[in-house]
Amino acid sequence: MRRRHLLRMLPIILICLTLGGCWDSREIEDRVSVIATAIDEKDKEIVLNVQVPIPKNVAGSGSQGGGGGKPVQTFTGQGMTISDAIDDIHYKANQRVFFGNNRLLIIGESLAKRGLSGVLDALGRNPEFRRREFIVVAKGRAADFIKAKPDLEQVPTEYVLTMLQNGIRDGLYIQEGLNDFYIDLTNPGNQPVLNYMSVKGKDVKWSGIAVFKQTQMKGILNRAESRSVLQIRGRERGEDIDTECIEKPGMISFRPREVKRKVRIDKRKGHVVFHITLTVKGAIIEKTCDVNVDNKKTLEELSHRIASKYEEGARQTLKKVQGVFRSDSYRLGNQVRAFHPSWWKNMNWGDDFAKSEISIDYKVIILRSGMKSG
Amino acid sequence: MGNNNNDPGTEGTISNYQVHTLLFSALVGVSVLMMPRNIVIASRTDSEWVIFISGFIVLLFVWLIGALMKKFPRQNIIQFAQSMVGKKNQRIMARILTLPFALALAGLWLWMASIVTRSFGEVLVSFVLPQTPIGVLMFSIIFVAAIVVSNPLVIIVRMTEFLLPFIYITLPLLVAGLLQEGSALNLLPLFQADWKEVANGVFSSLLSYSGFSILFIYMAFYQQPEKSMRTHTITIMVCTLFFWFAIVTSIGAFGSAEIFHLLYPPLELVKVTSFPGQVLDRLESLFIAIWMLAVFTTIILFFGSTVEVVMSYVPFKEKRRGWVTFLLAPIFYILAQYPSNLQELALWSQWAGIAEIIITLLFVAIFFIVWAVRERKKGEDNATTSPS
Repeated sequence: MRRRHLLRMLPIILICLTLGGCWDSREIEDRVSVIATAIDEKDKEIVLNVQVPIPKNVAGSGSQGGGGGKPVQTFTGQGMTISDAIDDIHYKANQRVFFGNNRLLIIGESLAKRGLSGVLDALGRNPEFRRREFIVVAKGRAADFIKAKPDLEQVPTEYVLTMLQNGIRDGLYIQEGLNDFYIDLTNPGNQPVLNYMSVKGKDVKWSGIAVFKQTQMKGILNRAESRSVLQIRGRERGEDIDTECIEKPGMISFRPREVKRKVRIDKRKGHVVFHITLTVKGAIIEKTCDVNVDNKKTLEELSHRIASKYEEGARQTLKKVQGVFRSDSYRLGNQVRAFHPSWWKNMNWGDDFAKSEISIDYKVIILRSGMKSG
Repeated sequence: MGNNNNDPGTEGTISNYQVHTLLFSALVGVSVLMMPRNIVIASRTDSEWVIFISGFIVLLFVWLIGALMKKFPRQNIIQFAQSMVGKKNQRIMARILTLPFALALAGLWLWMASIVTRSFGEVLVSFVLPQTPIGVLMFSIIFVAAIVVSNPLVIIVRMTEFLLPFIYITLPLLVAGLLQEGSALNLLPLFQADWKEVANGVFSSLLSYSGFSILFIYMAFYQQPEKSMRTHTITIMVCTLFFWFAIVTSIGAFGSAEIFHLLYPPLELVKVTSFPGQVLDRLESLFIAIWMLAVFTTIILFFGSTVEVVMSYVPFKEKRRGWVTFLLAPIFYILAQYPSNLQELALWSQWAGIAEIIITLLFVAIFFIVWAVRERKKGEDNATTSPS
């Protein structure tokens, strides 16, 4: 009898138990959903700008279609720490500011140069921020990104995001999200790099990569310079390359399709020696000179030319990375750590990277030359 | 011994497959979320093979328990302890002598159950339900656990049988994370740890296996105790593989250095995983929901064995089981509330793990000695009777 009594009460009890989650219940429309966060510094304080889409005004989301209003609203907060700045925003918003849908983090250049350790700590502790976010360094102020208004997308962040996604998929930008950034920071064999973007009026532009040593930004590599870093670090193909024709005036454009990397590690006089061989396969996409690219010998000569052009660029970048930044953006240390642990134990890669000898060789294979012959 | 559970028929007993689900559910729980971090801190990338050493050691413990329990078929540790002490007229004596054993085991399992509950409560609060008071979460867990535990032990085991397949759903989630974020270089180098680091790794991962001692109770219900050795071995191997999998996916995705900074590496791994097209955006909620089941089975098994110890020690009538359960539940809740922070909780779970190993070894040793002495005596008394 008692049993049956309990049984009858069971549904009520179980329903009550699920109410436990109600402390955290927030309906999706009761949230201010941030999709992009820009972090800057101003007089040693953190300035946070967040972008929030206004669903009503974004076309396609409702039956009314995009109204005339602005598609996004921006909130600004300032404080000594990230959480302080977030709190500042909380007091300005009518509903709880929710960072769970944040997809883009933009770091101001001056803050990046001062160091990101505080920012990263705050993001790592907050369960709302996910490690899947894109993170970029902005030339100048990060807040400008939030305020940029490209015409192609209603929500500016969407524009930057698709740009990043496509660039990474095409192997033109560096593939480094928040998660990779964290991992590169803790792994002593790696150093983080981030995409470096600039904004001017309506134009958003990818302008290279920002090189970090631990949490501090050391400098940037521009588009041409970053090519070899992209290839060695992530086996990404990098942008097209132009080179002069053989003997005759004019240029030839080569588009890489596939990059293979081979790293041989030796030790000489206490220094680590890296022999990096990159095999780039690709196609000729344009020529403005009078050579016959169907000729086998010409093709070979051309590929040598392209290879030496690559090598020249790679050497200049290497000089900058090793000499000026002194930071292993190539992720070479990780290979030493993995394959030569006994050397690794006696090394301090932060200093030893600059002392190591690195040689970069290119081998270019021209696969085809477009839809035209001759 | 006044307990009407141990009828010798197959009704109300534990089948071989249930033995597997029971042991697996006891070992795999909230510890999987924390273990990769603990072992990686101790022996870094070498954890990938160190875990197999601890798996082997746990196997030895389980073998010992199995060997002992087989000598006393259909009796749990409290029952045979009491029957060992004396004949019927010495019941009070038997009670007094077995009291320390009953207290130690009941206390240990209740303590372990409370630690698991609190640990998972902390996971819930820090990952998905930051505003919810942890007391409410733990209250609901303990309340539902108490409802389950009010039933006979065999029902609890059936519950694990039913819930086990859900735990395997988490494996593809981890694989997806590994494929998206992983790098083979992270898994290297191997065989760099010195013996001290290896020992530390073995020790810390050994504590994550806590829960094997509940076999002291559950083996009394086995349908075929003589075949249990094989099932136990397979189960420990499967558990070890599960742990290994959690470790390898975590190291592969994050690298050993980053794991130092992650409280729950597998959860964090699921958090970075995304499915193409932004479907199933927040996978960690799904993962935690499934993991809730894994943790819940652990809790009901521990709590159930605590109740069973009390039931067989006193011995109460079977219909009083619900009373016992709901009398113990507040103690359970208070224990779970007791640690003041995560650090203290970590210490507690370490002590509980050590206590479990010590108690297991001690009890097995004591009962084997007593059993051997008695067998010899029996042999002297009656040369024709052979021991069973």
